[in-house]
Amino acid sequence: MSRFSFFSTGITFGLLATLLLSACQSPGSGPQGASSGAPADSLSWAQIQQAARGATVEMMMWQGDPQINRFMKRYVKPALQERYGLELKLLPGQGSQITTLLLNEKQAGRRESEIDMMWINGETFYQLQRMDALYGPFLGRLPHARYLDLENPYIGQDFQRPIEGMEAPWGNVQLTVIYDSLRTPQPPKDLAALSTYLKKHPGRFTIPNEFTGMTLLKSWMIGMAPDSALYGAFDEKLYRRYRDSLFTWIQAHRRYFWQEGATFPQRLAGLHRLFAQGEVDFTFSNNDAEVENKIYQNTFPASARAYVYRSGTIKNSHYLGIVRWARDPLASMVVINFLLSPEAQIEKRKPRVWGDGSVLSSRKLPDSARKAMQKAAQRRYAPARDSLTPYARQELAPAYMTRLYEDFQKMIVEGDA
Amino acid sequence: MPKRAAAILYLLLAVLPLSAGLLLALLVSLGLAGFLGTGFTLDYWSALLGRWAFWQSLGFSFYIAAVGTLLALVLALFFTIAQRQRLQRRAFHTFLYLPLALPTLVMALYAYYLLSPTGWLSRLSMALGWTSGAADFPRLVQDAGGVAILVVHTLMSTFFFTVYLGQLWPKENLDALLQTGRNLGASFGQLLRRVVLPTLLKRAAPVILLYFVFALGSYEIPLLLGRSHPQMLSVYAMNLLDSYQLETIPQAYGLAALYTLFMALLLFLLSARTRLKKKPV
Amino acid sequence: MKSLGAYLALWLQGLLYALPFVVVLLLAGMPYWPFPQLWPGWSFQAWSLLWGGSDNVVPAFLHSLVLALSVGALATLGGFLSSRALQQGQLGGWARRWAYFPFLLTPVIYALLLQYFFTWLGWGGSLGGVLLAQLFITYPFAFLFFQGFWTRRVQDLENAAITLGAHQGQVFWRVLWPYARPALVTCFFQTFLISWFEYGLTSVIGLGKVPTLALAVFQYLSEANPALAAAAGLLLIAPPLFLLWLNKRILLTAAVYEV
Repeated sequence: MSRFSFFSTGITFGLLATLLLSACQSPGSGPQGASSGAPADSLSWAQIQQAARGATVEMMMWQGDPQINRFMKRYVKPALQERYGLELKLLPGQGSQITTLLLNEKQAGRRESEIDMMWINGETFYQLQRMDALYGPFLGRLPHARYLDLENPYIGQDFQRPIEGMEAPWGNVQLTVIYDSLRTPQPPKDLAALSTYLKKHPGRFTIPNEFTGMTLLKSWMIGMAPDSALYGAFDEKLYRRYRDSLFTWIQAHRRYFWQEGATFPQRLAGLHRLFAQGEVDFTFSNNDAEVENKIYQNTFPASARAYVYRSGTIKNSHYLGIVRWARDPLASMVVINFLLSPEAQIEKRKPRVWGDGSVLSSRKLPDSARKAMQKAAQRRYAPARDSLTPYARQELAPAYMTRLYEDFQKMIVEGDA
Repeated sequence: MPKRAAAILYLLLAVLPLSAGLLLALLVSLGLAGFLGTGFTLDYWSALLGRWAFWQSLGFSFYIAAVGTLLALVLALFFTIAQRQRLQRRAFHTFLYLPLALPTLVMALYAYYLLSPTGWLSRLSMALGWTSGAADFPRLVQDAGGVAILVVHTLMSTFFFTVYLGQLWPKENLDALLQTGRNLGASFGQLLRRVVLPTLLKRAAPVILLYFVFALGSYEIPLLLGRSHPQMLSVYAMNLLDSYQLETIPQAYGLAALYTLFMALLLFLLSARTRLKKKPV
Repeated sequence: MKSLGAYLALWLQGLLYALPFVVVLLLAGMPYWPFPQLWPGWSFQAWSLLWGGSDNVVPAFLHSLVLALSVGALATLGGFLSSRALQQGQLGGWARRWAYFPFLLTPVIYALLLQYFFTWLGWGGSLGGVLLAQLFITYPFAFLFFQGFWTRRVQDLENAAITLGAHQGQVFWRVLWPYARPALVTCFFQTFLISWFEYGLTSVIGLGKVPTLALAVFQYLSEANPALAAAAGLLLIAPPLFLLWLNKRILLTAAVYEV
């Protein structure tokens, strides 16, 4: 082979391979998954459980909280092995990473996914629905689904969209502000008070540039708009109006932020650390019980407490979905069913374990379970759930989240300091 | 190994993956392939290049790579020239090789826990009464100037350059040259400028460039020690890939293609000067 | 002046060189480290966690080992054999020039380019897939490495052996192989280290399903867990330190791939 033909062969080969592949994959051409449409209607639940024996289910989840990881590794995994003989594998990944992975797989026409199920939230649910990447509807098939509190708008709807059985609610939380009661005896309860606080104590406050931070921004936006103006479908004009009000406030107070607002923590764990080490006075969590379980972990001081702003904070549920072309959707259903069981929900509710709110309706539960749930829900340091309910606000349509994410990065982080 | 088999192996492992990947990335970035591919469009490219943050990222990467490599060179030259007598000693020679065992991740770990506001230097300075708390300590990690990133790159390049120069020294007979120069009456400074530096730099040039390029595309270090803005190129590209907006994915591919093409250009220019035809390190 | 410079250089160098090791060692032996304590005392908690507890690093260690050994062996062998065949003439020139391309490209960017194909072929998230991807970056390295080996001298050696009556097999096994062994060992260790330390490409292609020690170090670092990160980091640098003890030249060119 002469050198010319050698290399031109190589390049041509590459070119042809690429063109062939991209030509074959037209948008929307999905793989013929192991199942599509209504799942396993012909099988009884007992049969599904039987089929799941010896299976391996790969679950992609956010692994940023060691407490949650421990719950999954030390409680859920062994329980699944013991009772259903199935192995649960946990993979790190959230939101956009899940979407990118499934997008790639769909484009490539994969028949079986690398993952079976995933822990997702509203905006990912929206993206995956857009891509037709979800298996289902399956929720109705799960025996424990009868305990679900689906009438509750915070559970039956995900970011203003009905879940229609395509994902299963798993837990329920409300955004809270965490502070140290010794250091900050009178934390600011609204933006005006926060404004005063910032001027008096500059450099002690910041917003995390990630999911929780965006939830905080949304909560503030809702507070700025009249009642439920932002609910319902995404409205560009409304979004811009309240985004601008919010960003104006931020820009006006930016120099009183931590690091004079020149940079914002990229990870929630980073903000928690700043708070724990006394560099900032506040941190946030989507989980209202977080302050409690961080105290138990010796990460936060025992004087740490949590509260919500008077204008309200977002309460939302997080969900579990199954990939449409998952290798083992039936076994995934068994896993999800277990996670929805009163027993698993009660365990998860304990502040020492996770403190995540239950998605089960207490009146649908049998007496013993109801009592156990009430006991598990008791807290020492975190605010009582009932006290937070009047301040709960619904999640907004997914586009608010993705737009805020982008605009915060572009206009605040990258914009002028 | 017969030539044909070798050629096929080479094609499969070295040529095919890279060219196929590059071509696909270009196609996706132009809208001609992929889930979002609805037909030829320059939208993704204009979105990528139209964002000021991209240029800042580019500038930041060049700044880190250039300054880091330069500082490392200066340090390495200083270490080598000042200790040229010790180069023959075996213990010293071994000592020079020690830090080559440190990968980027461990260096990032080291830099973080040394330089962060709650790191060792900060605690030390508090104990000495120089600073009064974590917030008082100067920002060296996740700061605008990328100090920690710069420190790590400088150190890692220094470690390597020192070893490399230490090997070049006897190879180029610099001791003998220095001696001859001395005998002819030249001062140390003159010898340094006229003989030592030109020789060393000329011979080390390919390796210096290599390290510059490695620093340019660095990923783990800015990921761990950098902040959200500005980001180095690799981190920027991966963020585009992982963002909440599906529309940035073609941009990520575009950036990857751009970077790859830049490497190709660099190689082309260099091979034109027949430098790379020489055997590698 | 000269000796002052030498003195200064040695002290500065000593500090810069030793400090990383010292810091990592100390971090690994530490329990919870509240600010602003300078030294909270020894605790080998991190070690027990690494080996038995929930943060068990043994699977990652084994994966890394298997990966690095295989990649090292395959790349070295492939590079050794093909480098010879593709050495002469225009073809050799082109091959040498192109090989720098994957070598220069940052592994994580290369992984981005490869992602789609690996998903399509179902090679993502598997040990084999990661192995292949790592081969894409180590094979060119080995190829270039051996370009410097197949010199005129080696050819003369071969010719001499043939003249003396040896046939091809004997030439290879009795003459070339022993002569090449040092270079083969060096290249093997260098490619081993490239794979051993690799993070970006492995995390993208492996999809988090292929645990490696480098990935574990990164995870502990991002979780802000100094003791575990340092302990895993010490494990990570153990092989190169061992190799240093064996033969320090091995590390020189591997370091070229480090930054």
